[in-house]
Amino acid sequence: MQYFKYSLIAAILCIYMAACVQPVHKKVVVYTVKVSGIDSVEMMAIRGPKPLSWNSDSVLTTIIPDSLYTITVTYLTGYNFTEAKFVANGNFELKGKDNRTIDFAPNSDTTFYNCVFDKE
Amino acid sequence: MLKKLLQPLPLAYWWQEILLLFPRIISGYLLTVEFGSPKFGMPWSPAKNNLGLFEVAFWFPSDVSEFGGLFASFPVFFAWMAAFAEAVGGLGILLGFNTRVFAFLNICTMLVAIFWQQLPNGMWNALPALGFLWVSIYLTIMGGGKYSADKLLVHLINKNKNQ
Repeated sequence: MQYFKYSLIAAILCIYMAACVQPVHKKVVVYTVKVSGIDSVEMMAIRGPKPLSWNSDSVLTTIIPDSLYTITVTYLTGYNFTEAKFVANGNFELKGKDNRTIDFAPNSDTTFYNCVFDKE
Repeated sequence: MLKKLLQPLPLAYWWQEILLLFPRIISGYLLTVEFGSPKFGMPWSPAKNNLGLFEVAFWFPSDVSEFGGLFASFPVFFAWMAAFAEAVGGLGILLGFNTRVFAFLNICTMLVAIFWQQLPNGMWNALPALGFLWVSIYLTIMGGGKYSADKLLVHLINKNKNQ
């Protein structure tokens, strides 16, 4: 009887804990980066949390060479924001400064984020 | 049994109690505010993290499952326990409430953090978890000290017994 009681409590606790994981939502961010002051951009990339990586580059698509780049990232996240930093020719922007914080659009699954490279 | 668990070990001088209060309060604060609340829903969790009360952050179970073995079999259980130990346990340690229980939970959490998560990335990365481990070890042995909720509870238990 005692064993049954403890098993029941453990089972309820396990179910409770499993239910206590933050739900995730699909959030799409369309990044558009304007570049000025760099003569030749050989590679524009972004780093950030999953599905991106802080250790390796995700390369952006060129819209206008040496000027405008874009990438669309789909996040599965429970947070209302994400973080990112851009990398041009292997060099990080905003050196010694905080990562960019991108707040997801509150009433839409898609957020459009426009910024200038190395400018907050 | 409860009294034994709560009763802090007495120290000879008041200044020793004060001195040992610092690591307890600072560790408790750091655990519950800086390390625990971003991944476990507490009233002081960052609003942007969108965590409900006692919810574990979405990314934490998958991080825990990467440790393999038993952690991969029960990632939600281990993630919830670790986050609970830091966020709620940190508050307990800060107040000196159920200090030994929460300190023991944090010993387990920090050992996992050190050996499964941080040491593979180098000794420097393991230093914060090691710091919390040392404090948790002394708290598990010593209890919350003279200036703790545990001491007050023991006092109330003794008072009720004598009435």
